[in-house]
Amino acid sequence: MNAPVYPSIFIACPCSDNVGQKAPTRSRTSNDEIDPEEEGQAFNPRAPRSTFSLFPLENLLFCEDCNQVRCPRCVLEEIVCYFCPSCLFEVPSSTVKSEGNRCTRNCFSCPICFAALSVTATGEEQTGPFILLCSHCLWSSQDIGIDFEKPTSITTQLAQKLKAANASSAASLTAPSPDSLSAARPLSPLGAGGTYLRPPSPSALPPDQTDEAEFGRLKAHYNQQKALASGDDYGGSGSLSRLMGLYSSNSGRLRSYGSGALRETVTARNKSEWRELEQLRTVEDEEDVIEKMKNAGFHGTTSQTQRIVQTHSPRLLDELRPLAALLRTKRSKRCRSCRHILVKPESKVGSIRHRIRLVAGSYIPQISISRLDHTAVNYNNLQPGSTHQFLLTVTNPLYDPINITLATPEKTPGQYPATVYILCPEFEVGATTDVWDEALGPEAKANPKVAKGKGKKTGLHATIWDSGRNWTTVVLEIVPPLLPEDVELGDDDHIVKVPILVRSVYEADIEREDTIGKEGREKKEHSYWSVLEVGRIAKKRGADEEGVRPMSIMSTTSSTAADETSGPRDRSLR
Amino acid sequence: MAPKSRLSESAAARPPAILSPTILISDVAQLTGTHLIRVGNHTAVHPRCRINSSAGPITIGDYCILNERTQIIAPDERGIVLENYVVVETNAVVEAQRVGEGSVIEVGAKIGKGAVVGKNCKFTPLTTVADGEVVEDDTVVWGFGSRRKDMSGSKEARRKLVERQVEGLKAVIPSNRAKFMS
Ligand SMILES: [Zn+2]
Ligand SMILES: [Zn+2]
Ligand SMILES: [Zn+2]
Ligand SMILES: [Zn+2]
Repeated sequence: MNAPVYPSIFIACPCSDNVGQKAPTRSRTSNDEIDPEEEGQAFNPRAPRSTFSLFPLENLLFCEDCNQVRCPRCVLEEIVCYFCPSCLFEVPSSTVKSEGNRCTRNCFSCPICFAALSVTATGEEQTGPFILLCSHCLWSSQDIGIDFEKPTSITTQLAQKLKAANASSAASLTAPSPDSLSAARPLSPLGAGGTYLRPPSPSALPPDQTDEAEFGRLKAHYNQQKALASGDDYGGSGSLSRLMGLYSSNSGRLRSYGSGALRETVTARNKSEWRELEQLRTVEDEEDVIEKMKNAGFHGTTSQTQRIVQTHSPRLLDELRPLAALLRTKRSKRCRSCRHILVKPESKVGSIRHRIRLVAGSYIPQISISRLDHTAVNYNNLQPGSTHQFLLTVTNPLYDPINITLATPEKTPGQYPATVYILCPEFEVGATTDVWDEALGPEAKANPKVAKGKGKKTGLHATIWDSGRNWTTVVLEIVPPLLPEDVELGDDDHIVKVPILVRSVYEADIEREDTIGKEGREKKEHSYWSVLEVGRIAKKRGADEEGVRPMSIMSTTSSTAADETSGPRDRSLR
Repeated sequence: MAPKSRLSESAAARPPAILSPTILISDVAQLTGTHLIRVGNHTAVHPRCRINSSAGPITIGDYCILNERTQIIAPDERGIVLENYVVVETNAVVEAQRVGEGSVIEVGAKIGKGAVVGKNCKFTPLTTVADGEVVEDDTVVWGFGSRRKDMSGSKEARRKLVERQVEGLKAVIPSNRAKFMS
């Protein structure tokens, strides 16, 4: 996770209180006096549960019908389509179900570094044989001794090659049943069990040829068992044939658990037989493996990341296989409580457009914070006990002017509360109009009320600091607390977190389904809790402490200040 | 970054240079230092590539490509040798003693002072090689310093590609060999 950047602003999604149950507050008349207490207790940003309901504005959607922000937790996702990120071909969901979630065309990624592999000609004049080559680390399918006759349908070719290679190694053992031989061999770990070029058949098989051979052996073994069992009154006979039916059926995927299940089913009566099974299950002799690893050396073995993405958990680099590209999805999102669609992407794979996309930023007023005097305030080094002045800017995304009321507890929640004071908690923010209105027309026309106070920058009580077309700035004063030095403090205690209730009231045209109804305006309101993470409190008071420098130097240029102060800001600038 | 004025550049002492007539060198490439700089046939030196021979002679082979803002710096009096078909990508710094034929040093990679790089090596972006290190032939340095042997057999193909790239570059970069010969 990235280091926190100050100041940052989060918005609380109310869904954690009653997920999806919030009664629509839409078109509630709001002539009553505004009272922050009405919303109950002030939002406590330090409560453990708050972490789960605070989101940056960019991560939130907005449901028009519920008049509420929607976080990733209170939306429902639906898959619109599956596609391969590499070749951008759409894959029908039926194919995904039958053949797995990997691309079955020519898209593979490198088993070493996971970059995309490309089909490259090795012969003169772009002729075959062809290989899959990683242009980053230069791994190629030749490293595992595989090349291709033609540059297309690599998946099928690769399946055949690997099959042939494994079949020869497994030849000495019991031959696999004919149907397992005819089944195409899936390559990809997660697409395990998928068959290619034909729908899944009762012989859908696990990814590994060694597993396939294993399956054949097991089947033969159990057939033998069944034959033996039918001779005497062995009660396991019926369950054996049932199990065999299960594992050769369409849904069955033989895994290690498969044989484990079988083992449990059969009673321990035939102990000797079981020992035999154990031997059969041991695909590789341990001594063999150790010998191989010894020969390959450390550099010939796979890393953990390389191993876990492959189904057969290869120990050695020459057992790696190209990874078929994982499919991606496009998803639409619905409001969890009213089921209205909030996001609907264009179903065409190549298009990045959305048919519907209701992002919170275009519905709720946005707040931002900056330093009034940036020579005096360093976000990573707030001085305890002294008053810091910030500018709080509220931006209106709506086409109607809004009345904003900001409410904040005087003392922030937490063991060491900071004192917060908003000089002008009630003000108006102009409508979002054409940018040219402000530039060309008389200023007063755009927003007469707001324009009156503009440009004064007095910092007086109950007056706004500055305003523009669709934004208004007020002054916010914060006195960070003095932290005790002798007590062990959590990291969280060093951060000034200010909860602010932002409430907007505005008049909008009534939207009616039947257009015949009389035109009119209605009063609407919306309110949300936001949390300003203003910055870190300095460890000790005084400028001689390490990391604390005279404030005038801090501010020479913003870039040098950021370079010299501390990590988090530094990283954010890269 | 403000470009240096032509005047100051020309005022600085120019190192002795032997440049092949088939070389492609931009007139804003920087050749500095006091030792001999020798550049082979069909080598492309991009604008703002810096070649510094203050500490020792520099020899660059045929069909090399030195991209923008690369630095080729001789580490000591033994100098530096780039063999044929060496590609140095943007922002890379090479202070090696020798870079073997067909090696590729990608964006932002650093080859430490006096390192000896074998043939057909590849240094993926931002990887580093320590001072004085010896890198064997066909080594690929990738990721966070991981190494592996290139077994893809694509080196011939890569060389062909470099030749084609140089031909292509000749059409787009105006060459001013005379400037560095005086
Ligand atoms: Zn939510
Ligand atoms: Zn694909
Ligand atoms: Zn790779
Ligand atoms: Zn809704």
